Amino acid sequence: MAIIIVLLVCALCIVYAISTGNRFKQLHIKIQEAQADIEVALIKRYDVLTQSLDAIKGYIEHEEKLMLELIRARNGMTTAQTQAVLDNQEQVLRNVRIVGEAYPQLYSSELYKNLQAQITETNEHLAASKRLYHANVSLYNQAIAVFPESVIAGMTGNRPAEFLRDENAEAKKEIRLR
Amino acid sequence: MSSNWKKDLDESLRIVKNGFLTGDTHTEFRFSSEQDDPNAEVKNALKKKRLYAFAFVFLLVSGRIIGVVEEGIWRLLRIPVHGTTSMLIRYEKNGKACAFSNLMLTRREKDHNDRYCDKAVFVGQAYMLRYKSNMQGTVRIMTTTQWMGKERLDGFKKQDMDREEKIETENEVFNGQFDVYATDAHTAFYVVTPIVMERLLAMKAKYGSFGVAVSGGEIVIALCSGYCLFEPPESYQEIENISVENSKDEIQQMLLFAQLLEDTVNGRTDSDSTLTNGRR
Repeated sequence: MAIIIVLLVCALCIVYAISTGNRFKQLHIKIQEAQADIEVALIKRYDVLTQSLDAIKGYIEHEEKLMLELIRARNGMTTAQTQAVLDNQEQVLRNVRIVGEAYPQLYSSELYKNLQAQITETNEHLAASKRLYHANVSLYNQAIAVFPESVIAGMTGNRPAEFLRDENAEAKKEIRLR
Repeated sequence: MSSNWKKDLDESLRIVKNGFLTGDTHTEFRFSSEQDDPNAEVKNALKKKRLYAFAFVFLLVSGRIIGVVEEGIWRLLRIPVHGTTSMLIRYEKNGKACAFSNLMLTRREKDHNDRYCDKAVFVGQAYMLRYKSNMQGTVRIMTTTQWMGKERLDGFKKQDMDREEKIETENEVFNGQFDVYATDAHTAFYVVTPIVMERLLAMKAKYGSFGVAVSGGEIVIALCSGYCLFEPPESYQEIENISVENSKDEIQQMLLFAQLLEDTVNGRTDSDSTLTNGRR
């Protein structure tokens, strides 16, 4: 009788471990999907920014101090690479706006306005993708942090996922300081 | 964009009735059970039919057919919900069409004295806005209440397992008070932005139960306020609720909220100013 109980408990533990492991996998896949979503938005923004740089090409010959080189956005990036692309695009975006504001003729052109509208739209999609990613990361991190799931997470090698930094945080801090 | 407003309103009613109450605009809404559960009939349809067939044969044999057949027919006949409306606002401008109406949905049922009477299942306001949009997919946002420690939708249809997924936003307070179902998570996060969440929470605190559906270029809001705006009271208790100012405020809030949603869907960033000056 005792052996049966022990076997039953062992079987229950195994079933629990498998279902918990599967849940971790599902959550991890959701994070990957969200990350792919961000990459799609970044690639789209990369295309629009490339067009924007072409549009302002004639105006930036004298703007040597401005960093306007884009890192190529692609699929299958790591979190660190995604973060680097995000930071880079944000920097270029700010500089494109600076150039636009410095040259009224450019600022009032239809092409520039149209590109800015496209950038705004891609920013909205990017913001949604980032929020989705953060929500999924939060769910996953919470799932692997609580006991007894934390034990199974440790055994199966599940580590906490990284959040993306707010690339505007530094800029916001600067504005506040001024 | 159709200029036939009767058709537009019929469409809005159909969406409110079917979209909210069954979760599927293509499935006609029907009540069958006494507990007002629109899903119960679907789930137990086969079981019920077998039960009625068995009961029919049994009672036929026992000679007690007449009264029970009447009851059985009553139960088997799926008498649809009847909707009555009174249009409050309608306009068509700049490629947008809007309809705002009082809405009362009733169903016929038997009272204690075995007499049929109309019972109101939804009394409130329905709002519909159509506009040009590239958005694809559907997002449904509905208020929930905590009942015995469990979350319960305020009479709205639960998740459509085949087409919808339940969305958990990053806002725990919002998740506790609303259920969000969407065809894909990205669309849900695109529509349910932090400012929209704040607005929804404020609306719930003020008006209670309501549901919002954003589907492509269409926004539908159903507010189960329990009364009709700008209409004479039907009972003494309702007299105290009469307030033109409140009615005006409610309409304004709903119009502004729908505008905010439309701005969000169309990627507009001036929603804050729209809400504060309230002149659109």
